[in-house]
Amino acid sequence: MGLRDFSKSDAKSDYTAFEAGVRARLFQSQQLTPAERQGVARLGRLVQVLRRKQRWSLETLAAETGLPWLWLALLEQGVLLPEELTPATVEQLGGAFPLEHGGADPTVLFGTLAATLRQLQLPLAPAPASPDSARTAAVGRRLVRWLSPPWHPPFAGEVVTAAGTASQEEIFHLDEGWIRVTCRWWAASPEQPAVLWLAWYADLTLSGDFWVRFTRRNDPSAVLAEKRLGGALSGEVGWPSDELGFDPTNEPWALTFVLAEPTKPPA
Amino acid sequence: MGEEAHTPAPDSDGPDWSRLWQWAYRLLRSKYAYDCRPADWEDMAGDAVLKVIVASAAGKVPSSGFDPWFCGLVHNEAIDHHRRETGRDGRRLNEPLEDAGEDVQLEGDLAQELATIDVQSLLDRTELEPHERLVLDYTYWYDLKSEEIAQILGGTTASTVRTWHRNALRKLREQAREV
Repeated sequence: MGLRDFSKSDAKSDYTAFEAGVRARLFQSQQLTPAERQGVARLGRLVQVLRRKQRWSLETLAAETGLPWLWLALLEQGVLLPEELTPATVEQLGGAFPLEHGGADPTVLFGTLAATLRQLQLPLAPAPASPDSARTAAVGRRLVRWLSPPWHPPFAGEVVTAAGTASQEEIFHLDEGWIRVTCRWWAASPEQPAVLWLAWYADLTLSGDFWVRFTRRNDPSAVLAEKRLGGALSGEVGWPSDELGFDPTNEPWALTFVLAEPTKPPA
Repeated sequence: MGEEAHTPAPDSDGPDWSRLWQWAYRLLRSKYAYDCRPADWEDMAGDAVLKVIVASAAGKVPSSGFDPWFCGLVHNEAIDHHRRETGRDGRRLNEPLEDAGEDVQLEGDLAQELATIDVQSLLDRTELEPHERLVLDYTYWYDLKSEEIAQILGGTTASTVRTWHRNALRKLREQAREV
């Protein structure tokens, strides 16, 4: 991923850009293992410790290293993603700190910590899983270009009368356009399980893969399901509850619409 | 608290982070870190705002009672800064290393002893094993814990690192007494 999303020339603090950067990474950060999260946080803390010893502000560090302020701010706050810590950037960062009293070399130390992080990211032995769950796991490793705020459709997951099961619609606005999401659900009957139907229509200048993430209504960190919708700007899909992994008529849920980097074609 | 509240209520343009930064700066200057330098206030205020943004994105900012929560966060920034500057016991000096003060904050009386001697030359004179020197460096300069140092060095345990640490301190103490 490198630094392509950062403005290299900008060493000035920009809290709005930082907020956008945090929100874009939050989704993937939540997918990291505790060891990965701890590794990133440790590197961030170390940068902060050394910067303060030099009495450098974050802006000064950006100027000293030639790295963008935003990248450094995300690193110090433990929000940067492991794949954004490339060997080149880590070396650039470590090289900015002087070698103090002939002791440990910051470049070597940063390099070791980043390499440890990368090792954690090596794919584990594949566990038996359905194709769909494999796709679900994949979203956490992608660059999220945009994600919507959580939307809880009225009556979703609640026992309601027939009137309550009408289609629910929400429009998400972003700088590059808008996305309209419509969904509806039906309770289980003797003939079929409960079903959730979702349609989307997007008018966007951004491209990528659409995903939808279902979480518990009152706990956005409790993921019920993640589904890939594909790159089409409009479409519709229905999932029976057994495929979805939860009952959309019994479990109060919310959804987050995600635009992630596109799927690479198989080699 | 005598400070104007600046809860960053979201509006159409989003929260006003620069106003929040100014509030943090004033809190630090007038209350929590009045003995620090303006550059430190700026740095701490910036970090406080970054923390609020991260907490806000994660939905961890309290929906009510933002002001006391934020004051607590700024206060903690000031406490962290103070600890970094003076050590947990407040006895570390702030002079640069080459001016014979900082660092290698040793325990108890040794820290005071070292405040009057040249730490760099003490380190050079003391016959420390390379791993002992590294452990001192990682502990006192890089602020790493023994578990973290063990991970970085590889092939060792936190307990072993603590033993090397104790041995290094003992050697430094003996060398310091000979001075």
